[in-house]
Amino acid sequence: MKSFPSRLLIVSALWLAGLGFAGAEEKFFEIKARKFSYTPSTIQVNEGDLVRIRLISEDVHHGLYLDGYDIQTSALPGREGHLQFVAEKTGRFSFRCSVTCGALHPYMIGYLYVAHNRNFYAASAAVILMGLLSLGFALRPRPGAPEFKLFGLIPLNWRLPLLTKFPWLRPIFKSRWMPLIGLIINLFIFTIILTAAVVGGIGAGNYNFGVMIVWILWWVLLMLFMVPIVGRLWCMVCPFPLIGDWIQRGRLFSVGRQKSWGLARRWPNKWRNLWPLVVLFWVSTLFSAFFTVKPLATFLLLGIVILLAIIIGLIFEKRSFCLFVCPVSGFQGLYANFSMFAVRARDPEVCRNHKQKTCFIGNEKGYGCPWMEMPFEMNRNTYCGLCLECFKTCPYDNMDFYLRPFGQDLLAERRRTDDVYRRRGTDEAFKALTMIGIFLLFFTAFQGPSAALKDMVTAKTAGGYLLYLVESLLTDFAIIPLALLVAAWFSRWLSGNKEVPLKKVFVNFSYCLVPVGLAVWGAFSMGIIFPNGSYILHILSDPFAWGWNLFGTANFPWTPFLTRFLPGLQILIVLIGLAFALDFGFKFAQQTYPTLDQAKRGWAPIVVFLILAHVFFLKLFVG
Amino acid sequence: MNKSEWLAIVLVVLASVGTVFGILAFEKHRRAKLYTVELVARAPENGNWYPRTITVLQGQPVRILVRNIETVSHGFALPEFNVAIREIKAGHVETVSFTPDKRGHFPWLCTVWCSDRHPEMTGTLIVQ
Amino acid sequence: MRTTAVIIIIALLVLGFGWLTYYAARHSRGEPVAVAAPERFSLNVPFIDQTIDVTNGLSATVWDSLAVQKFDLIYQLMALPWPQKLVPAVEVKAFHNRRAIYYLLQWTDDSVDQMIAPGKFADACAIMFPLGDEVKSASLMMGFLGKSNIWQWKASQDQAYWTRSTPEAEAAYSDYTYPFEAQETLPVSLQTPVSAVNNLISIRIGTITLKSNQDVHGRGLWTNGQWRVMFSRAFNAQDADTEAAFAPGTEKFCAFAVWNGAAGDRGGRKSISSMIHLNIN
Repeated sequence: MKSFPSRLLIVSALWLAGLGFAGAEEKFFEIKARKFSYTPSTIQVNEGDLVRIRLISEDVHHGLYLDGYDIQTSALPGREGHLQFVAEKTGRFSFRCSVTCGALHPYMIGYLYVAHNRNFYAASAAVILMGLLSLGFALRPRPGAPEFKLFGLIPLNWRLPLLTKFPWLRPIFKSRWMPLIGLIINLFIFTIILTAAVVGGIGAGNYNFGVMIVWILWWVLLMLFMVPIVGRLWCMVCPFPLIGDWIQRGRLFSVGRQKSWGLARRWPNKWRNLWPLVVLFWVSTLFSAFFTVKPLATFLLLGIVILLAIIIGLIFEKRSFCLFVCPVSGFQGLYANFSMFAVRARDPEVCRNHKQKTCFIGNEKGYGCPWMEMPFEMNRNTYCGLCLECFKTCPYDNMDFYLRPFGQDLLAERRRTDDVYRRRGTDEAFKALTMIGIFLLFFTAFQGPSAALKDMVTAKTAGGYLLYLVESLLTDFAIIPLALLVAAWFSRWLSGNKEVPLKKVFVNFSYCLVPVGLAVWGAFSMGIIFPNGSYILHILSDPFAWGWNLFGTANFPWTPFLTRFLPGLQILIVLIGLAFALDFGFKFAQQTYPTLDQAKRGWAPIVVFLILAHVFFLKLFVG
Repeated sequence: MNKSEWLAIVLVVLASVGTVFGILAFEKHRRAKLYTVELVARAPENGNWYPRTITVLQGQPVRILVRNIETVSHGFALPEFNVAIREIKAGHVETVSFTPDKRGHFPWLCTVWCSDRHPEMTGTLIVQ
Repeated sequence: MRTTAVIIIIALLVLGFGWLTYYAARHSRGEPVAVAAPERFSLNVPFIDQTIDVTNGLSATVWDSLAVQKFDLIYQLMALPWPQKLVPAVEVKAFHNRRAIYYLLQWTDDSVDQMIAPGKFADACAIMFPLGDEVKSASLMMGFLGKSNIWQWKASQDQAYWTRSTPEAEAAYSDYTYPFEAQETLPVSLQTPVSAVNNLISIRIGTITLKSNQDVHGRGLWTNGQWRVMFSRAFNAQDADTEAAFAPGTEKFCAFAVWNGAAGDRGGRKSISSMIHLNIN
């Protein structure tokens, strides 16, 4: 009985007996992997089951890594891979390919469902509870006109002028090296990105400096930190307008021409809003299956954007490109209204007495606002690119950098009817709506198991790609706006108010989708960085796949980190977004409807809309 | 133009054009010093090995830099000289070193099924 | 004036970017080279109304009338272990007479190895027929993604089969001495071969299995540094699912493998051909 086979037999018998007692079964799956999906792409087991997976490759070397359980195997063509584990964790777990197998390798994903999905049920219950709480808070009686407070705690008109509190910061903001030095550093990084793309060609996207730095590092940092916290921080240090600015101004560092060299046309009034960006960003997302994985496509995209930046700079005045053409400008601008920082004039009296308004027309210390904003009366972040010129041009040092609670700008309303910038509008509403729609399609295509969708977004057939195009157009511009419109209609109907325009209700409540958009994109970004972040260590050491090893990490293997926390973190971020949406939403209701009573009634349908939307998001992320 | 302007211009030129030339020059120098030849692995439908033939001298140590610039795994084996890399994953770079002690034409092959035309993925080492 | 300057600058920028993109695309997979057309190998199997009785030898006359078709072999490198030496090519002739199909394989081998002993391996050769309607070239790995029917001839099995003693000679053995002394290095559980060729089926590397019907026959002969091995089987398959079918219909493929025992070839250590189209007339 000492021999290994007999011991194995006894252990297996006991094991199976034990399983039988617990009601758990042994489940076997043969999973066939080919570019770029698994068959079957979803598998279901019960909690406690002994799961056996045999992986077979149908074309090239594929792997299978199971999120949450942190185990993996791989199958060379002609061979098998084996996985065996007990499904003790419940919920939904992605399994993904762990060996680079082709262009769409990072999106080769399947789902393992382990009943019962307690995460999803608990989170959905939380969503419903939060919605009911919000209604409860809204419906209770209130004495007098309340001051808007974030979660009832922080007054929403509170702000801290940092350059006044910490005067040593001001010389930094006033130096002409700031933010130029940031631009130069990013210019260096982008040169490496573009060079790597030319050298990398159609090579592996996950081993290409450009693809990794832009779509894994920069995008995730943008969505998780830069935009929610500082707003347009990227615009401050973005190197794309550097050449255009240089040509327009004749000077790189010192102050040259105030009026742009070139044709210096004024951007047409009709398009001085977010509509061009809504369309341009949506168009660029139609190609995301290409440029997020192929170095050459990233090169094309970045190259075209840089080219456009220079060309628009030659034809139009100042930063018309940044304001109205750059694809990332739209959501940065809109979401910047949520951020914790802002550039504002400190003392309005000083500005009123200052006839020259050098922050707008410029002087020998700096340029007039290149973003064509009016710093002296700016009250929203949408069109301020944090270029810090107004700090240099103000003779009274009246510009300040404020720290304030999240979402202060979301409550800002129009001041003057000729105020082209600083007002709520359908352009911003559609920016918020299309961002949700784009997120939905991105998530289902790139972090979902559907092989058909992946074929569609990569234009495997012209018909499939056309279908994707139409789907994207309908979802982003019709279905989701319609859902909000229906909710807005019910809101207005329930409120009893017949005079307030439906458009106003629609637009005002669309700003609920600003924190929601930030949250879902943030959660989506976590799904990008946790599995794939380790590639960054490799490409930092070997940016061009030439065999370098600058930091010793060139052979760092693909190592997903903390994937077992991914569902929990994603739920947390989605719930935080909902919290902000609910808090601000009722404030929007109070701004939309003239009486508090109407606002309370009009708020209810929007709560229902938000609850339904968030249960849907949770289903996507963890269900 | 004052000093700061010049400094800014120099920095910008260094960061852009300077970086490109610097990288290319550095790599050229590194390759010449360290490697006999660079071998690029590609599936046959994408051009096959580049170069398809390598000529070396008998008795001289050879270092080949094998780069997989594709999106699938390849491999490298030179059976007559007992050198092989069982798998070179996509985007990876490996080195083989050996000293050819006999003259003739010797094939090298890919060792991982990488495409429908994988059996055609061979090259020839000519030792003179 | 300024408009012209702007237009010129824009034109230069666009052209420059266009050239850079073109260069990048051309070199995206390294130095651009003309991509060779895929190699295609075919084996003609004509109809010849002749029969060969394997028990009488290889029969030179029929084979001499057929042209030799040469196929290059390469090292088997897709699964460890790898072979040490390459058999560079195998020459094949084949024909059928509607009732049976015959293959002849020829290759050079300096030494004839027919004994199996520790460290000694027998020469062998095999023909693999991938089964199924859609055969991918990846099926080269022993039926990977489908099934394949393999006929393997081993020199040791050939010798054991063709020189097996008749039943009469084995009667009346009444010696009490240990009978296996001389053959102690051979496996004790020797099976009596029913053919010189094993009829096998496999679905991927490591799954090779002996079939229940062993109706493929063969014989090998080594002369002057060259092996000549003949395979024969009924033209129609007994079970089309698990046996090579040669009737007209879907595209047929085969592949060859050769083992050189002296070089330590056995199992995965072999020289293999590419996938070859069978043209059966």
